[in-house]
Amino acid sequence: MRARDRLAATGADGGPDPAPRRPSGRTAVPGVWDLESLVAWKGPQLVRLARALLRDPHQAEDVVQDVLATCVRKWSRIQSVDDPSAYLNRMVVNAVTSLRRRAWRREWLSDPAELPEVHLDDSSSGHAERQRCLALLRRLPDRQRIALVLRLYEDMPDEEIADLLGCSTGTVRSNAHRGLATLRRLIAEEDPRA
Amino acid sequence: MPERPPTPRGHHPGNEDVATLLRAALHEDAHACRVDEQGLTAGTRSRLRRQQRHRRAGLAAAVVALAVAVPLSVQALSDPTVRTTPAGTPTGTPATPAPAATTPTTTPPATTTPGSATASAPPTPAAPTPVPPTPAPLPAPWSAAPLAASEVPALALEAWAEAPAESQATCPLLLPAGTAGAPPGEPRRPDFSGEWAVTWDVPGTPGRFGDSSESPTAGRSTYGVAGVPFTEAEVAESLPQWPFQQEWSDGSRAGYGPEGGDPETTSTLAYLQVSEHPGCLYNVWSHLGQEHLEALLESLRYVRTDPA
Repeated sequence: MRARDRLAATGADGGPDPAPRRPSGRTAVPGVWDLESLVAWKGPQLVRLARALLRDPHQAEDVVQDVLATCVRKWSRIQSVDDPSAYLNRMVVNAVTSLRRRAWRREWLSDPAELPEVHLDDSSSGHAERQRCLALLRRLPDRQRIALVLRLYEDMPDEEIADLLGCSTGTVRSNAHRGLATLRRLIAEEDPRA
Repeated sequence: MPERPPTPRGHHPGNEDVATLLRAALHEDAHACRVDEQGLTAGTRSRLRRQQRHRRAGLAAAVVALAVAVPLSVQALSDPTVRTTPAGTPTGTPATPAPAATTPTTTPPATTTPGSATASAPPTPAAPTPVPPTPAPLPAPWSAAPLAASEVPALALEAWAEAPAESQATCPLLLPAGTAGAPPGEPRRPDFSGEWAVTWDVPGTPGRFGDSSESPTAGRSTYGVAGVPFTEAEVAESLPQWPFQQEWSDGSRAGYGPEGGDPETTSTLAYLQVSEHPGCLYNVWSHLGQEHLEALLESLRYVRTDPA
C-alpha cells in the first residue's frame, strides 16, 4: 500500500479508515457533514503531514486550520473530486509552499546547539537516533526538506512533487539528493565515530 | 513501529541508509504525534468566523462604493459633454479663443491674481493640482564598493561558506556596513531555514527570545540579514504584499513593514530583491523600528567572499 493511501486509511486514533472505497474507485467520505466530523476524519493526519513539512508545530496547526476552514466552505466541491483525502493532502502541501512566501521571517528560533546529542551507533537509542535525524532534517533548506518529506513520507513520485513545488523533476531529484547528502554530513559531523 | 514502505528507486546508494533512517523517523513521529482535535476544531471555527467577518466587511465596502459610484455615473451619463469652459460661463456662448501667443499679455486678469478674487468675479478654470515631481530613485547602496572580508564578522563569512551552493550562487553575501545607528551588538548565526543569515543581539533592546516570544528587552535577534533562494517570480510575488515600498535606481525593490502584518509586533521586516540577483529574497529585519530598518537597507553592501 502506498504511504499516502495508508495515511488516508488512518483514522483519528490510528484506527481503521472511516472512508471506505466505493466500487467505482472513488473515495467516499461518509459521516463528514460538519467540522467536527471533518476534523475527526482527516485532521490528525493533516497535522502530521504539516508537521513533517514544516519546522514549527504551531505553524503546522495554523496551516491545517486554514485548510480545514477552506474545506468547510468548499466541501460540496471537494467531496465530488475523485479522491478527497488526497486532495486535502495536496491542499496542505500547497499551503505549506505558499507559507514560504508570506511576510514572515523564516528564522527558526530554536538553537541547534540545544538539540539532544545522539550517537548513531548506539543501538539502545534507536528512538533518540530517529528524533535526532528529524531535528537535523529541520535544519535543511526548505526545498530540500519538503522534497525529502514528500518523497519519503508521502511516497510521492518526483513528477508530482515537481508539479506541487512548481519546479522541474531534475530540481526535485537534485534537492532530495542534496538534502540526503547534507543530512549524512551533519550526522557524521556530530558523531566522530560514524 | 510502522511497516516500512519499500525504498523508492533512484536514490544515491551512499544516501540509502540516511533515507531509510529518515523514513523510519518520519513515520514514527507521525504515529507518536497526538493531535488535539478539540483545539483544531476551535481554531478552525475561529478562522471561519474571521473569514465571515472579512466577507461581510468586504461586502459592506462594496455596497458603499457602489452607492457612491452610481450617482456619479448617472450624472456622467446625463451630461457626457466634456466641459472646456469654466463652470459658471454662460452656456451657448462660444468660448473666447485664447489670445494669440504673439499678443503680449501685460497684466494677468485680476481674477487670476491670488488673493484678489471677488465674489462677483467670474470663476476661473480650476488650475490643475500641481503634481510634485517624482523624486528620482536613490542610487542602490550595494552599487558602492563591496566590503572587505575583514570588515564583517567572521561568522558571517562562515555562514555564507556553509550555505548550500544554490544559495551562494543565488544570494551573494550582503551585509550592513556598520550598525545603521543601532547600539553595537554581538553577531550571531541564527538557524534560518538552512540558508545563510547573520543577526545581531543587542542587550537591553527589543527582540525575540528563543521560544519566539517578543520582549522589549530580549536583546536577541535585534536586527539581521539573511539570503533565501527562490525563483524570480516568487520573489516578485512576495513584494507587493507589504505596506511600504522602496525602489532604487538600478531596479532593485523592497517591500517592508511590520512582520506578518501584525500591528502589535516590534519586528519590522523587509523583503529585498536586488536587480542583479532577482532569485534571492533577502530578509532584512529590525526590532528597533522602521527608521532603523530603512537605515539598514541603505547601509547594505556586498561582501568580498573570494579568498584574497
